[in-house]
Amino acid sequence: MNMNTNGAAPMLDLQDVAMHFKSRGRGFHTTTVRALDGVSLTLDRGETIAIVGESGCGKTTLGRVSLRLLEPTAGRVLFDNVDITQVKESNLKGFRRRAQGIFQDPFTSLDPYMTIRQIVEEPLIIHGVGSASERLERVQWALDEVRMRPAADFLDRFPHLLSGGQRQRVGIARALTLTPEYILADEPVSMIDASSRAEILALLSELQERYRIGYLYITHDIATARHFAPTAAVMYLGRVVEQGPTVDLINNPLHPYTQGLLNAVPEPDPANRLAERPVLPGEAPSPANVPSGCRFHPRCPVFMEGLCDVVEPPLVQVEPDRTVECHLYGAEGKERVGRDTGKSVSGDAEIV
Amino acid sequence: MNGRQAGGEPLLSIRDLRLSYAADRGDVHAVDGVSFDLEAGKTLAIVGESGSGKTSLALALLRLLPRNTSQFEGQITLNGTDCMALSDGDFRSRVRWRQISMVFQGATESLNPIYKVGHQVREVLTSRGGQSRSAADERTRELLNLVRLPPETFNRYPHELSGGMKQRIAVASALALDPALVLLDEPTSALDVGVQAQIMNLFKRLKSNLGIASIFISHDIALASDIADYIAVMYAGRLVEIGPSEDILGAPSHPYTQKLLAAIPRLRSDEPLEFIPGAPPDLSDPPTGCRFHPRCQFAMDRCRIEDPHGIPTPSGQSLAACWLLDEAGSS
Repeated sequence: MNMNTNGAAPMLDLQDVAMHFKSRGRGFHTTTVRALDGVSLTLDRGETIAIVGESGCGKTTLGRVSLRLLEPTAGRVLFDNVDITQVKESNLKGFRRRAQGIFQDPFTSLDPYMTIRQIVEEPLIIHGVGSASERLERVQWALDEVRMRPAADFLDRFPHLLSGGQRQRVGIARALTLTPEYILADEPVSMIDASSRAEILALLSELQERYRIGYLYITHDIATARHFAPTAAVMYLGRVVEQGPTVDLINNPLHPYTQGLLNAVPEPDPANRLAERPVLPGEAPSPANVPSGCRFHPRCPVFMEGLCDVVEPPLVQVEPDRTVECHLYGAEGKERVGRDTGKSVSGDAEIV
Repeated sequence: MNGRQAGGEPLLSIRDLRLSYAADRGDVHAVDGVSFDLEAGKTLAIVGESGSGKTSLALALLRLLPRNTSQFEGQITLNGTDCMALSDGDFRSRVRWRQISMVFQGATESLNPIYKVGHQVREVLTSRGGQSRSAADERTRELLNLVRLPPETFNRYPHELSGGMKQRIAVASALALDPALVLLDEPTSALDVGVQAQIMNLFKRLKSNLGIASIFISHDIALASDIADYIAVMYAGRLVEIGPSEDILGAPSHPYTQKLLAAIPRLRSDEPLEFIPGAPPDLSDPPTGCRFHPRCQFAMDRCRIEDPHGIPTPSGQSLAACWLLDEAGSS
């Protein structure tokens, strides 16, 4: 079991979680879609970890597994030391109160036929919290917490009358009413105008400080991760390929995929228009068709034939707080954790 | 506001363009008096929040007007042709797609799933371009090569292509008839950041090799800087600032532009992010005076009453519709 710095078990502890979907291919063949393929990570109260990756990398599946909206096909999901994958749904109410989610699209994740009051009150009703007047008080408190003030003005409005940023704040208020310890924030700002994104992220940080909420922040945008999450894990095709302090990942990316991802991020510099960006070739293959060896090898600019396409890369602990899953770092004799390949990398591999 | 750039006859010149839609709550003034010039071969980015009128501006240029259009006026001059004087039929046969084409937002979903993609590009050439099938086949292969797709893509169906490849098909269709100007409306917003960078590289290459002018529409000013020679910032149906990219990004003058830039999470800086409180106005009932004044921290009495026009910024290279510049200039 993983221990955090205090020696106590972490709040959320994902252990080698896999999610393989069976899907019918052509004719009678079934294919296995390996959406998640062995992911381990831990999250404590008051902490934020960003899961960064492109579409199809499994980041949303990971988030859904962490809330047990999906049951993983392998691995364990410990919440306060209880494996929630083994608990019957009828016994999950305690967990469901303590873990909540905020989702990407504030235009479809709120029921258009419900008023703001009904939307924010619903979790309280489901969990049988308080009397009607206590619940109303709670709803007003939650709206006030997300700066929808005065709360009374918003209670009877419908979502379509609100801006995207306001709608997302209603989504946050809904998640907040039960004062959860863990919130999955799945792309909470990606559909919100740039002028309001910072406001939502600042609000989430403020709530975290006040209530020691742990966030799993799922995003395709590593730049927002830098400003919101001290730690980040980069995912590619169902696995975490690199993890560490977000600023270190950005300043000194180790995995060739992370390097490629960073090169692609546009920055507001007019000089950019004068030159093409170095980009990774092609697009990520489908998780129904995961390449052999290192799953990134077909796109990797420093691919080592006979190794990367054959042997799965080791998980290398590069620094106390940084790990990378790449053959480039297996050779350096650094401490290895997790699965070992049992082979060492020849030192003369050419790095372009 | 007139964003005339020094030197050269403009390829495109727009004056006081207005486009309104009829709605239950009254006319929505999506484009409300926009003026600018664009030189041949250059890229102008139009950036703004959702609902600022960027897409309506593009639709107006292509005269693809929604049915509930209640007002469409102003001047659009392209290569010396007064587009507004053309009948719908003349505009369709002479301008649309031949001189101005467009890559639509979510273009990857706009391909017909039951036809081979090569045939869909070819159709532009045969039906709009009046070319023979063999000539069109040849040109289609050229276009695929131009957007860096392998020749066998011609016979593929849309579902066999990745999002990035489908976007390249949409670009090939837009380039088919050799237009002088291509409108790119959020052309990468459905794509992952890696594929987005590949497509932006393609646009840069087309710009330098073919000399095509473009209008790049985006909510993302950082992405816009990847291609834009000039940037126009749009707010509530109007341009609030326009000028060379260096100027807009390096020394923005309008408070809205300043805030928009300060709201971008920078990859390599810990500068705290700013945001703009409030939301953009309802375009059926916009605020009096400067439309940004309810959200502007510098708003003065004059801003609430008088509508600002484009005023040269301190660099002299850009125009910003802000009374602060007038005060600074006169004092």
